[in-house]
Amino acid sequence: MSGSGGEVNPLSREPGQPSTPQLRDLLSSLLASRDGATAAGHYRGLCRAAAAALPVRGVSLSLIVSPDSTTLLASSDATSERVADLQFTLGEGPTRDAFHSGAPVLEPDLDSASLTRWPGFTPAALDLGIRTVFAFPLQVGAIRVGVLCLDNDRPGLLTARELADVNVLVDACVVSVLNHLGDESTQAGWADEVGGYMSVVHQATGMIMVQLATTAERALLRLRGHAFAKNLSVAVVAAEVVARRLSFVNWE
Amino acid sequence: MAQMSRERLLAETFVEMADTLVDEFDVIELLETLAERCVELFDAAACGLLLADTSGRLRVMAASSEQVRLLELFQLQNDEGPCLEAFTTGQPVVNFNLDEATSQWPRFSAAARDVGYASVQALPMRLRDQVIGALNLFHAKPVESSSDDIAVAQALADVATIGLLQIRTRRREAALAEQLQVALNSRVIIEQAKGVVAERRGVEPADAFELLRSHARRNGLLLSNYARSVVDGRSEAPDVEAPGEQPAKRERRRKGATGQPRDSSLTPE
Repeated sequence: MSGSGGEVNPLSREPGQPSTPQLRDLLSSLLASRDGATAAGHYRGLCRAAAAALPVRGVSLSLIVSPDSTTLLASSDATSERVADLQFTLGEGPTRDAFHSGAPVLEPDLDSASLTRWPGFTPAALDLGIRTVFAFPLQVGAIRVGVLCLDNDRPGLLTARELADVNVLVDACVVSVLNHLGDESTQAGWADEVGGYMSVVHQATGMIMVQLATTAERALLRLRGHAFAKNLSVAVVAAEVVARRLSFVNWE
Repeated sequence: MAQMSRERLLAETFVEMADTLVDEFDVIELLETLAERCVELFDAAACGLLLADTSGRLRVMAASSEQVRLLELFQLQNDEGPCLEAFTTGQPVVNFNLDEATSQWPRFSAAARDVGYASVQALPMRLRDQVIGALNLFHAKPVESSSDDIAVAQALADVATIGLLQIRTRRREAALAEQLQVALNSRVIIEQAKGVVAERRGVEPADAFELLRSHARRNGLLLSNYARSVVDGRSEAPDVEAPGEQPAKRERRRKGATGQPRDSSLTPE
């Protein structure tokens, strides 16, 4: 946002691009092929790299396992894993709130936060030395993938620039996780088409859902898979679907 | 429906925008309404509203038309154009004539002329020194909008901005930047729901949007919530309305804007 603080002008850099080379490397490794690395190992590496690249202490990544719950996939370290476990055990916390509301949850100081929000989680996290938690839903419209949770041992909000970096990372995580779920070789180029506002891509997702009687997530992966197979951009294939020149009916 | 006087339409539009101050509202619906009203009020060919995401990228949140080439014109302005100018400087770009404008924003100007537009205006969406996006108006003929017209359009953009920023103070500590992410995601949910409805009911996406919106209104639902439930399969896609229902729907909407409760249980159908 253009603000009066002068601390940040997001336009001083390329929109949609991370602000540091470190983060840029992280994104390319996130979207690159994983050379047979296991998903857990891959995402543990991601969490560690994210914790190093962002001004936070630790990072964890939770994935959706049912319509109303997530489970920990990977974390940067034992403390972040403990923070995630606490939330699972207590049934409350920023990860859960972000997942259910679809909105980022930013708690800049657990020590001065109202206890009514997370009566169990807040004192337990403080005992672990955690002062701040920031949870970001990984989502594409109605498609919910999981939550990225950042924690810190000192109070304070992220700056607008840091938030912008986190959002770029979140978009890349969504695509990376979808790629895993799709079990296909990764394709870095579509992060922008999925994360950005490309109305045809999302309309086509809805149409393919009905055509294949499947979920939005599967529909998006089928759309992506088709584009990949034909060496076309996702947007081009989506436009064909919306124009009703391409249908996925009878393809299964 | 009889043509409403411009003054009355304007007054009602301000009331619609001010609705955000008194009860729960849907950001996307607010912006869609504003885009449509601006086309009527300023005799424009098209109107779009762009908000910047946290990484400073302008994204189309509402447009008066689904025309692909129009949407591309909005997107193009992430590189150059009046919206980017209004967003970065916080100053309006008025009566920009696309015929003479080849030197400034050459790519944007050429693309806009190709679609058939002759002039363009862009007004920043701002509150004091905070700029969150821009309102973009296209005209098919060269226009010299009066300073009064510009002031009215800017006032509408400002009232909508106040409504958007209002969210921040009403919902605990969530910052504007986060709320914008939520709004951006709502826009995506609505696009997905339009696809579901378009396929299920055999209609075009633009008509699918109207079906979703009128169903949500009739039943007192927030558009984004209803759209999500359609994509999740928790709600049926809305039925195609019988011909002749459109004017009634529109009338109801205007009524809603003049102070009647939105809750379906209180609104006689």
